[in-house]
Amino acid sequence: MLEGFNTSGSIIAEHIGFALEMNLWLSIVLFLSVVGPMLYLAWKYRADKVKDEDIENVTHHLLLEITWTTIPTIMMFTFFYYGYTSMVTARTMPPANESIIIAVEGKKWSWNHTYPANANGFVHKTAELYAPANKNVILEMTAPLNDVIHSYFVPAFRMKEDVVPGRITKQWFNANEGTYDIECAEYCGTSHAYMLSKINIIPQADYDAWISSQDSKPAAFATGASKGQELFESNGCNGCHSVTDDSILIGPSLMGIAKGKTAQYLKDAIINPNKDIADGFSAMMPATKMSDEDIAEVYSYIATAAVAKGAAIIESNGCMGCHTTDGTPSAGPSFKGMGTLDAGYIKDAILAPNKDIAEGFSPIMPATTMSDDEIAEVTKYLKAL
Amino acid sequence: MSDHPYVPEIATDREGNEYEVQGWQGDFFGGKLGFWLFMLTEIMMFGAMFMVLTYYFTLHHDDFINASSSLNRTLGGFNTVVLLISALTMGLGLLKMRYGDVKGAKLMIWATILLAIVFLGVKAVEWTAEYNHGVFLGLPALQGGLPESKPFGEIIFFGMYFTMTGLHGFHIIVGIGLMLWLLKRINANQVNREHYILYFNIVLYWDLVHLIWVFVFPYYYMIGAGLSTGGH
Amino acid sequence: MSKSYLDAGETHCAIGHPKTVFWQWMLTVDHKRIGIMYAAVMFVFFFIAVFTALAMRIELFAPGSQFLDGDTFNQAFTLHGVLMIFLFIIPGIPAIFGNIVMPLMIGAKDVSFPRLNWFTFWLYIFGCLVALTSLFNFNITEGEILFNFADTGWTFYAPYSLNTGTNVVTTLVAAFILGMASILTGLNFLVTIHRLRAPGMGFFQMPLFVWGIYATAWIQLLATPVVGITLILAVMEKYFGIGIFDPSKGGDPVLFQHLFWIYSHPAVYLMILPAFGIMSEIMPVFSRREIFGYRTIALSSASIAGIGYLVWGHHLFTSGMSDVAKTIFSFLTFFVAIPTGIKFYDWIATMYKGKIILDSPMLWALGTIITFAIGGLTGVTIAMVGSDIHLQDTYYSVAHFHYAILGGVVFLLFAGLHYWFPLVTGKLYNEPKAKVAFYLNFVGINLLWFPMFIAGYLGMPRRYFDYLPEFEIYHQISGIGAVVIISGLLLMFQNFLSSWKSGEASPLNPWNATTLEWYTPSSPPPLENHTKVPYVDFGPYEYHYGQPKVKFDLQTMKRID
Ligand code: HEM
Ligand SMILES: [Cu+2]
Ligand SMILES: [Cu+2]
Repeated sequence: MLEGFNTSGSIIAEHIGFALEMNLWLSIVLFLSVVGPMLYLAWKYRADKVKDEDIENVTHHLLLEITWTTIPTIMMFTFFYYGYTSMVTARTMPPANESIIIAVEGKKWSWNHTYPANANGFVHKTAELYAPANKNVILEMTAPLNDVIHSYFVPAFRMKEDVVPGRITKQWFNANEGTYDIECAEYCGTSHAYMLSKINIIPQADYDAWISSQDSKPAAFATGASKGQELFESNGCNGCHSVTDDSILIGPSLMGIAKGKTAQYLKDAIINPNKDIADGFSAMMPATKMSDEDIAEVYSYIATAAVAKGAAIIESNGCMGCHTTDGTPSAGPSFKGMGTLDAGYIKDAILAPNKDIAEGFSPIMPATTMSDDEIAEVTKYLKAL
Repeated sequence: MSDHPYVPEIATDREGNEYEVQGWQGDFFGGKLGFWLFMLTEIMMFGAMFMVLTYYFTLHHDDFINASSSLNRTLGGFNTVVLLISALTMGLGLLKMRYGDVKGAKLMIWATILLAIVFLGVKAVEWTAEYNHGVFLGLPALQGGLPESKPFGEIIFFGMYFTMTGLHGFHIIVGIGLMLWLLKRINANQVNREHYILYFNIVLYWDLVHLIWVFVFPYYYMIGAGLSTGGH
Repeated sequence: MSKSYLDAGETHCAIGHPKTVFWQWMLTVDHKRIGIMYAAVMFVFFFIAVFTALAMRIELFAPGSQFLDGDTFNQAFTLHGVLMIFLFIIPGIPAIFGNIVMPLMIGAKDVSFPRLNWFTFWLYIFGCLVALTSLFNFNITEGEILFNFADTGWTFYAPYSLNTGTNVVTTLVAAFILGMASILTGLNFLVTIHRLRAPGMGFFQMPLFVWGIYATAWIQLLATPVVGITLILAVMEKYFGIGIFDPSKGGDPVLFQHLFWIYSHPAVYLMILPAFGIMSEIMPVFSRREIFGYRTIALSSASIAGIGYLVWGHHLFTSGMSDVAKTIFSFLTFFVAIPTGIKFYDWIATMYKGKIILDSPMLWALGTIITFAIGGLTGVTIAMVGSDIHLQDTYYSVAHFHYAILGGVVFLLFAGLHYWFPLVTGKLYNEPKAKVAFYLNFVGINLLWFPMFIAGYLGMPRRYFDYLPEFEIYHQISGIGAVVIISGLLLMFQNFLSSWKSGEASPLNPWNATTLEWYTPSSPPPLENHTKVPYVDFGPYEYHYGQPKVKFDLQTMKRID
């Protein structure tokens, strides 16, 4: 079961849940009223028990017919009624002045949430939604004009509404603390199944503290990721582009592009993405607005993302005590230029360093234990130098 | 299918009363009913388009009036008259056939064909003029998001205008084809005073074609009539 | 022995008098032969669609990508949906049994416009071919052929269908052509039923299957043009950008959904009404007594067809429609449920004081009462606006319509295949095998789709090629169900084919039924059906102590009771 599905996390979930439960029980009654008699009659009048003379052509029975018309009709009206009232709960937006209004943009294939500006005029934007507990939250949703229809579905809250290009649709919730899944429920193409996100409902105080700061995420969710990475993820870029390896998701991988291209190139590609399409890809990237500083952050993230892990590993294993990255030899040879070595050699050099010593150096390097994954990251780092 | 003349079968009830069985052969009313039903599908089809049109008319009222005012009401009105007359000639022809005046009937059919061609000719003049004004399907003025684009309501208006008048024109062309075929059948004496179901249905078809135009004309040409003198 | 319509030379043709058997089939205007050809083509497409579905089910067996990527999966469910809906089940029962059985039931020699019927069949084939070409992209310059079916889902929603790079236009055109064929079929049947009933047969002496076909024909006639023009407008939109559905030009993408469902909702009744007709034929025959509530059943078909036009908005409960409109559409939808429910009680009352013979047509019918009851009742759940907010576009609604279409329409089509198999082929099928196939299908469908109600309720959206790990168990049960039902399907068709080839010959009226299609002088029937048209002053289901009340001398069609 999805996280929080059972908690009746919101008032809408409670009302719709009631409608569904009532419907379930009455449906079982109706089902049995059809299938029960059917099985009974099929058994009672089975061929080998009935003599032809006992067959009767009963073709009308007024009382029965009235019964099986009126009772289901009454049930249908009951269903209609609870369907209607639970819709009213779900669709009646609370007064705006008692609610937080968060703008949602759904685009292929990510969700963006934009919060009201704080006292300093700073506007938060996130990929996952953060909202305070037990407070009305209204979502004002739309999609870019050249995008397609999506649907913002939160199963735990039993809420869903389409996100239509060129229109603003709304829905609201008032939920208990917890983490809940968001799914896209209107088919939108290749990565429809990955158009997922989360709603994090946090204590009011935490929320307030976060909103008045300029932090990209509330304190409890901070990952220590750079601003550039935050932007890369909150704008949904990671839905289509990889940066830490060269795998192709929807768009081309951005690993290593910083080597040949400037920040200006990146800016053009973000603002006017479909002007100049890499071979083999189609023009589907939505244009995104970003300030120059933000673009610089993203650029430096892209430049370092692929090697950040490797750098961290090298750092924490103390390799930099003896090696440099700028080409000058130290106690050991510089890392610069090692990118040309083959992966097996690098692995050996780490695990059993003194087997095969580069000319002019002495066998002083300590053997280090590293997992294959770690070695791969390190190799990637070396290649990028 | 059997070539020998069709003799209806007789069914007998238990008292020995006899009833003529309706076969699919020579079923005048069946033929009529079938064609009326077909006309109904045409009405549903154009009806749906009128619904779309009405929906956008309420959304983009002013754009629609503007676009409409730029259509050529003189030519459109002339064409309306042409079609009305052609419906008359078509109907008169059928009457003549039923009175046995085959020559008169054929004359009337030719007159109708002529009027239909006139209609198409005028339509072509109109479309050409519009094309020269840059208003045509696929031209930049009717593409959204370009500097020379018309406002959205007008794009829709003209998009639907060309779609619907185009579809209507297609029906006229089909009608001309049907009439030529009818003439051939009359010459072969397969349509005559006794057997005129084909004639009847083609008249019905032509009535529908002109009826649709009777709705198309006010909807496209007249809603903007108050705004300007009209005409490109 | 006299000749049957299957014998060489025993047919009328649209053009000339061809000598070869092949051309006699290609040009035939005989309603029975045309019905058989429809069946042959349709079941081929049915199995293609079934195996496409199997591929999807295998892909969904575990989270993550198994062997399909997102795009291929999207094309797969579009292919599955388009084949199943447009090529198989919408034409389905009317084209097969409407053609083969309906004229026989009303004592006619053929439909009203036999040549048109022939043309319609070939129009259908043409539509199928267009649909097939849209599977591929022919890249002439580079000599490549790419597999490139539309990836829009069978609903073609704008603006997605306008933006995607796949062959949507061809698919739309195919759907349009198939729609034309459907209109012409409906037109032909309407005129046939109005004009060609045997003397004496009033509307309330018609068998209920004919009532089902009649109600369906009106839907085919009046609803199909709307979707036809919608598809054409979508094509115009795609080629010329006239903007009606394109939000980037100010158009309203939701308008497409309205126009689409104005047809496609009535279309679901178009599928189910003739199926209900089959049910109404089977229940009395295998209960050996007159049907309960004939008029109610007949009129409820008509009222379902009527109300069915006014409820399309229930597919748009989460599309941003106004709340008032949602309320009205929800309210009206319940009014379709009521006559449907009443029919069920009537069928069950038909078993009361009868003699229930559990041969395979009856097994299929009774099994369908269970599966369709599930499909119908879960449809009621999503007619409640509040519930639908949660369930719309989840696997709950996918499970609902598979229970209703597969467990309702297709199952009843199979019931009809068993019931009329002796009539059409003159052979008897292997009964034990047929029973095993039924149980495989019945168990299979429940394994296949019941878990999906739960998954959908728990928040599993439809059209997902990958999913959150929470849903794995449901997809695995479902995958097993798919294998079970498919083995049942294969067994059933193997039984039909081998029995047709080398089965035992069938007696003239093997089920001892009362409707006119069984009173032909030979089995299978001769070219122009009954030897003479009977005079009909009796009801369709008159039994006396389990025996048909009305008896005919089949050579003269004189009453001998
Ligand atoms: C052997 C039986 C069948 C199996 C295993 C099966 C399986 C499936 C699966 C896995 C999906 C995709 C659901 C999703 O990803 O959202 C699907 C969709 C669908 N199926 Fe079936 N199905 C079967 C029979 C049928 C039949 C008989 C019909 C109709 C006559 C039908 C009509 C549809 C339609 C219309 C869709 C929706 C396609 C779309 O989303 O555009 N299916 N089915
Ligand atoms: Cu989406
Ligand atoms: Cu519906």
